[in-house]
Amino acid sequence: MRVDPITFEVVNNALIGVAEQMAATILRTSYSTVIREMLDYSTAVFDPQGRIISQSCRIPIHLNSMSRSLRTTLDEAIPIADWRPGDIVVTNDPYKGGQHLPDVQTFLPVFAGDDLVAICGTLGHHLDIGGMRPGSYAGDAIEIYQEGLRIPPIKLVEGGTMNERVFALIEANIRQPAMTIGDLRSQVAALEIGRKGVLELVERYGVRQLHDCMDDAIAASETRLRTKLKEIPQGTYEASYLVDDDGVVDEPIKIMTKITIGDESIHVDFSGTDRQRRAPINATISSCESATYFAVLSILDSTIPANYGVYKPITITAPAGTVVNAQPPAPVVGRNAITHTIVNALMMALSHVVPERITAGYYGMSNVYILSGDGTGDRPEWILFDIEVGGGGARQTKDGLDCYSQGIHNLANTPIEMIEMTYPLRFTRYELIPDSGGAGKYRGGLGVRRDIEFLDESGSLETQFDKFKVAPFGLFGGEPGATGQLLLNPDQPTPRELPSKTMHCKLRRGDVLSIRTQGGGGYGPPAERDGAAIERDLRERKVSAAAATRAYGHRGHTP
Amino acid sequence: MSAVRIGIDIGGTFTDITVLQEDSGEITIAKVPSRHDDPAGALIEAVERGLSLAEVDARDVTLLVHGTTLVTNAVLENKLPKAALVTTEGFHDVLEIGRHFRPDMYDLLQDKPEPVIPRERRFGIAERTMADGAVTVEPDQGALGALIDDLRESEAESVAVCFLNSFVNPTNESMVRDWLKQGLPGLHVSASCDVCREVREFERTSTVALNAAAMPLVARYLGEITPRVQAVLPNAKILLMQSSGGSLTVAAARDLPVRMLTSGPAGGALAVQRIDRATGQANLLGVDMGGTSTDISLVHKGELHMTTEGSIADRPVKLPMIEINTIGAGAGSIAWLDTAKGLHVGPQSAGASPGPVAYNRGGTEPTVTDANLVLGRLHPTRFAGGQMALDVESARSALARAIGEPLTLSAEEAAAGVIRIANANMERAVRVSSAEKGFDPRDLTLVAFGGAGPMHGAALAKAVGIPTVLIPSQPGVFSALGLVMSDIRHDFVQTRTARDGDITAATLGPLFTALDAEGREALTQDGIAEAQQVLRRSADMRYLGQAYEVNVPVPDGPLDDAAITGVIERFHELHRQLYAHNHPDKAVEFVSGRVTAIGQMNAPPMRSLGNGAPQAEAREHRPVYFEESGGFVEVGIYERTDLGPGCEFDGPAIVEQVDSTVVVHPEQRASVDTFGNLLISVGG
Repeated sequence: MRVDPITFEVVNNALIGVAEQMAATILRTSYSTVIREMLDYSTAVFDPQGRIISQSCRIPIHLNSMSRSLRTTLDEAIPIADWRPGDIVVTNDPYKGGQHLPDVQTFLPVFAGDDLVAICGTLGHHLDIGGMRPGSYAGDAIEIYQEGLRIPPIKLVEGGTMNERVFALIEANIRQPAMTIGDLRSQVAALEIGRKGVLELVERYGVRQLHDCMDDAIAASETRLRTKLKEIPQGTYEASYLVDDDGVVDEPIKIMTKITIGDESIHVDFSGTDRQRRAPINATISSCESATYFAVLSILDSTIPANYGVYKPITITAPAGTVVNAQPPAPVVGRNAITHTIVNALMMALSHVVPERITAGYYGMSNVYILSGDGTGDRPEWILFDIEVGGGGARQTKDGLDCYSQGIHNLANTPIEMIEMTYPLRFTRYELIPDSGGAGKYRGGLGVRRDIEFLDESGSLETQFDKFKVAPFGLFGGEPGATGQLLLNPDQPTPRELPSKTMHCKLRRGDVLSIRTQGGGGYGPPAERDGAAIERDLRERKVSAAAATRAYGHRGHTP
Repeated sequence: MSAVRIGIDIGGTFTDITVLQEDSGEITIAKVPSRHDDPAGALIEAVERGLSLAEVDARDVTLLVHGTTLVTNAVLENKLPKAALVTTEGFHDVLEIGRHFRPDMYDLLQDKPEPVIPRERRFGIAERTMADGAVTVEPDQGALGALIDDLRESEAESVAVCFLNSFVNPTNESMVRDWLKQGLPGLHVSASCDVCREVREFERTSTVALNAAAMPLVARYLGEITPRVQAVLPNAKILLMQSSGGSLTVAAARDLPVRMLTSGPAGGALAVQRIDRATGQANLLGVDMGGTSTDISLVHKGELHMTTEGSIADRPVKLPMIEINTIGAGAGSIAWLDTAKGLHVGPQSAGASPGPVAYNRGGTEPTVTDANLVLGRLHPTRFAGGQMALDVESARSALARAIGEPLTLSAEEAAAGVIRIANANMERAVRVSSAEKGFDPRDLTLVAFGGAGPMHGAALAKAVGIPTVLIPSQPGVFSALGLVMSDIRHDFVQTRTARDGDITAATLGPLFTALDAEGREALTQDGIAEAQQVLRRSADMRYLGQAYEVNVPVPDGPLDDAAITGVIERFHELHRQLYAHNHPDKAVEFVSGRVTAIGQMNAPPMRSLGNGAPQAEAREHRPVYFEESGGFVEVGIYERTDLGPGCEFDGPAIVEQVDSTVVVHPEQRASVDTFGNLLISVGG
């Protein structure tokens, strides 16, 4: 350690505070419901080499990928010598460290005099970034060029002056520009807040000591993860898990994982994973790394501060041209089917090694649905982007969580009243789905049903769902969770079942969309479930009497 | 005879009383042990003790203001009575689904908060109001019989009602509320339109669910204390402190108990505001450090900083409350090392039992109090007025074992480190409450109170760049003092969105007139004369498309278009102040109107003590550890009662008093103002 332990603790808390301050600014001043209600954005502080030091508590998969974007920017596009005070760089390129085009990242170098002290970064998921479908979720894209505007690292602000022509270029290529440009400006304002926060620390501790604290923080996190790894039995552990399909070709996609725990290291090998697809299901290496880092950290020790240091003991082999390391021009917008499946597969692989640290399979997808109005009625065109979650996997000593964010994302739902206030939509149900959690000694969490009536003249639906065919797995005798389902007009005599990756489904006034998300897998044999827990589930109608009889042999009274 | 008012603050360990004689301004304080099985008994005992110490006649007491953690503790300990919830059909799970954002990104074993009302007691009924207020499905009274049977069978003591979009048009909701009251005469019924008329169904449902669940609890408590207080104080009006810093009558508190969630710390914040009114120091940061936690509040330009986005135990409460940032760092917080030998303090606390190691009551892990003792800041036999002896040796060996040896530091260095980390935890919270909200610390004065606040205030202020610390004369019972200063308060809100060109006097005038009328009616019901009624208006506004609003003051009286233009200009200005940017050319949206109705209780101002002799002699000297001096130095020990107005002395120094200990660091200067407050200039 270069810094005394007390100063170290104080400065690192302050650096997390800087990231949180930036996050608060974005939350309060952004425009789209994607950011302001769903919280699909992140902020972080990096050292001058682009190594991540502190993160706000938002979306894990963003945070672990921002540093790759920043390093690629520094290595391949704008070397550090070309960054000036007051510059802000913007990029969204999945093949330069990003994940998919809607995630727009901005970076600002913080200078104290001539010294580059730190770099502040933000990432926001934008409502639309152009391309062939509203919301930029084109399920039928076969190349990234169809998915929207790709922005290589470029200076959005130069020496404190907004590069309005770059804003104009973005504006000319997207739908709903007022929202996206407003959100981008809120990302810029947040960076300014971040800069002030870092400079206050420089004033108190000096550049040298601040950098020593950053180096120490990286070293401490690395040491803690390596120490933790020593406690895990060395060996090789394998598991494979499936994505339903890519939405175009009706064949499952296999993710192969082989984990090797060494003395103080962990290697994850994805060899044997399926080839990339001509459909937007692919993950770039950045997405694959983020999912892996998230899984390793959350399984082994969630209390280690997540900075560059925790990535060092983790090495990854991801063969180029597979769905976990897609090569251009593969489309990538639906990459979360892959990343959630990676996390679930890694938990499965380690389930016999650290059974107390993992969960059974969770809902396994950021269930994205995009509703839009096409402007043929009285209203101008509109887009609603929303994500629904499902049930968590059961744990060794606890049930899975009913309808709660799990895995690589961490989203809030958008309030129904907020949506109805803005969009021609009426919700008719939002309720937990009984019996959707896998039975077990500990039950999987329940999925949720959300029914929405379309009140505009005409419009369309795009979705990226998964785990409609491959159920969230149970562990150690626990049963799998329920698969997801998407129905059009569920209460009509002939409801229409829609695929998980629905493309451009036409909607008319009065159509009702019914989303039913996946339940989590159970843990342990159902026969060992505590009688009081079964009674409680029956009383709360989370499990039906018929299901309790079938799964648990329950013959008690029905409440 | 002079009128007397009483403040009673029931805390976990002590019940504090303040007796204020209005004519003389004389204040008497007392403490009695709290009784968990009989809080009312402790309350009466405190009243009797306070009156006898103050030598006043019980018949002269005109007002008793009570702050209580009754509701807070019932929520935190999951001990609320059984409640039921009635919602729009298909939405009875909104309360349990919540917003599904998890507070810890990486922890796979975390839990989500249990809903206040479980699924078996949540019911939906067919009804619907649209976002524009149009009713598309009216509730059917004929179908209500089955629901009433279900509610009766559920054994719930109270029922919450919350329908979608009821904040726009409450017709359906209030109709069902009335039917339920008729059909279930023994039950408490609370509808969201009577508690919180704001958008976002989960947050609104959470608020009314907490309110309904607390109703039977509060009704029983008030039913018990009211006759007992009246028997002792025949002429006293009883008021309850709210989270907003205003007080409620007993009748209003029965209907709106959720407003009392942070009743306890609100008293402290109000006392801070009173300091401002007396000393003219307009910007104050209150730091109330107790045994297990620290509550931080802000007074800016004389006004307490408020929020409508508070929560308790991760359950949102959409009501105006004093923005109090509570962190788990107190005198009893435990110091510990993580696996990489990183030093942390709290949030685990040794509490009052077993307490710090030095109490010798079975505590084994070193706490902040142990560290203060080892550094010589606390006196081993004069702690808490000499009621409890502290064991220095056991504190020192615990610090050496748990912190010093693993880090190769001496016990004293370890203790100094523990203090620095504890201060750093508070420092982060102080920044959240000040700099992060756009308030420059150099314009603030830090008011340190609570038993432990005065020990940490000066170091904390220096770390965050606040130039002056103020220690009130009775820092240990400061919160009870705030209670007697409170006014009656009601808050009304109505969401009614209007955009840009529609934000006119014609649309907003009637809205505020209606809210004003509600405010006056509530105050009149409380028995407040018109001359003592004050109404304060404000508007929640944002740029069109944003989700979070900025609260903007709105002038009194009839609104014309010039006044509305002024409100919009003020919005742009506040947005820049809060978030470092604004867009004067962008469309603005008016979201909600608010009216705060104040019934002035005319608390007397702080009493000036005049100028005393500027003499202050240290009673003794002892070695105290200061990092900035490189170790132990001989330090003057002052007795607080020796320090009259006008006296000044230099740090390092320790000031001892019955209810607290004050630490003045080297290079700092202390003085006493005309009100008896101790001011410390912390130096740059």
